[in-house]
Amino acid sequence: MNCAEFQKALPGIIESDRNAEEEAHLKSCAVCSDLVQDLRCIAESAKLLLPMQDPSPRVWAGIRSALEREGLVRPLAGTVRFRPQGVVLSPRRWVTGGSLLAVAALLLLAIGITWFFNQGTRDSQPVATAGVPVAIPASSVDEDDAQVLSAVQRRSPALLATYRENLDTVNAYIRDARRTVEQDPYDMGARDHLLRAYNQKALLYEMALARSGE
Amino acid sequence: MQSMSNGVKWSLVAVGLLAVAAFAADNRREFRYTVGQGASVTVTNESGPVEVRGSAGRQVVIVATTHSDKVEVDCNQRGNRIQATTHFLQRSDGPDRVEYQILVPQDASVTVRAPSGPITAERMRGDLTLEGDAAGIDVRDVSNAHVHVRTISGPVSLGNISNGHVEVTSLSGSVQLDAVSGPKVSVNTAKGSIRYHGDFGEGGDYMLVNHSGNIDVTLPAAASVDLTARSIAGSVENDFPLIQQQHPTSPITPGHSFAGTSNSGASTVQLRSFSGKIRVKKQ
Repeated sequence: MNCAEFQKALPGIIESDRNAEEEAHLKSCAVCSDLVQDLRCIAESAKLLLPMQDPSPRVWAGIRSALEREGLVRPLAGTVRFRPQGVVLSPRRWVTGGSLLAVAALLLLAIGITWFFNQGTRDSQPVATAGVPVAIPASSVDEDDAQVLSAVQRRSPALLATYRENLDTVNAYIRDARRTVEQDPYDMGARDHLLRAYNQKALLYEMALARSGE
Repeated sequence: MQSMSNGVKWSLVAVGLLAVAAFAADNRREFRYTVGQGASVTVTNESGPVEVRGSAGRQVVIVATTHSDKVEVDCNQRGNRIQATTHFLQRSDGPDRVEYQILVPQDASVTVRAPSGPITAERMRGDLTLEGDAAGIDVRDVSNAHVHVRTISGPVSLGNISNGHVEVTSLSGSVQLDAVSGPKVSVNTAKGSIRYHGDFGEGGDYMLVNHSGNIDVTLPAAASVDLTARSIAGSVENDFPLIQQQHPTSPITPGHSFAGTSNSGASTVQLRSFSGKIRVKKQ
């Protein structure tokens, strides 16, 4: 099993037990091992975001569809409620808007990290060549952005314009970097920009949360 | 005429009462604590400036001035840890800002969160973590410390920082570094411009990165650097004498990137922009 195959099966690996082949790859590959560890760490961190209440199912559906667009989870038939594995939440005590945003920020980072590594292990997959247009996934976090802005507006309306403008800025950064990486997955400079752009967005979410006091 | 005179009188009385009320609302409080080595001081101020200054001695002195009775300041000490927080008793559109002036032992580590700021810190040897949304942040005369600065749109200015582990992140705030050196200096912005003026020390790792702002570096001829610059979609200009590297780590694209060494190349300097212009000039 190579990295691409392992990371393709990553959501299942995180959510359930690993088979022998996956286990063997995990032991032999530091990159995938680190990635699994990072995702587990993110899930563990999310546990700290108490107190929690039930979010709108629409929100989880949005996150699920975002992850599906990114190819990180498989589409499910029928109506199945999605929630991040590892986040232990009692039925009546799910996340508030603020802690939900934190989860969203962490997921955003996870998406960035996973997308980043997938780009680097696409040897066996069709990759875009320079000059050939590639399909860029639509923004996966529009709904999260809206929630961030809503949280800022509630607590610090004077800062709303600042946050809105900077969300546009960082989204443009992500788009530009992602487009360049898709055109040349081996451009380490562009990949570095992409990770930094995701980090900046995570920072913006984190600071918005701090401001909202949620 | 008589009624007009009374009107004036009443107006004067009203103005006087308002002035007294305003004066009464201006409340200056001073808190003093004695701390040991390695103390930590955390200040959270939703609205208003925070000034931190390192001083001799082991005392933390916090002077907080409020301008409204709808806001109060809580300060407390738990062991070697001091915490000062602004609390809003009632939200209003009035002058809810609180001004903090803080003296700390130079080796204390200080954390300040002040969305609107500005935040200033000077004469410190302890670690600094400063965070503001739109707040301007100014740090001067710091040595042997970790300096972490984060803003959304607030401009950042760092001056005379030696042997620092410096990490600055801002989305759209500009970042100005004057005589900043250390083993590790990292600046990240999205739209904000980055200016560095100095000699990059005698051995360190410097990384200045942004998306669309410009990066301007001015350094003296004596600077000892191993410098690479690349703007993916923008341009680069170099006016500093560099010896071309025989085996650059990444391919050089004229107009978009350059690399070279001056003197012994003691410090590694990486300048990266996505679409901004990078300019390197001799001082």
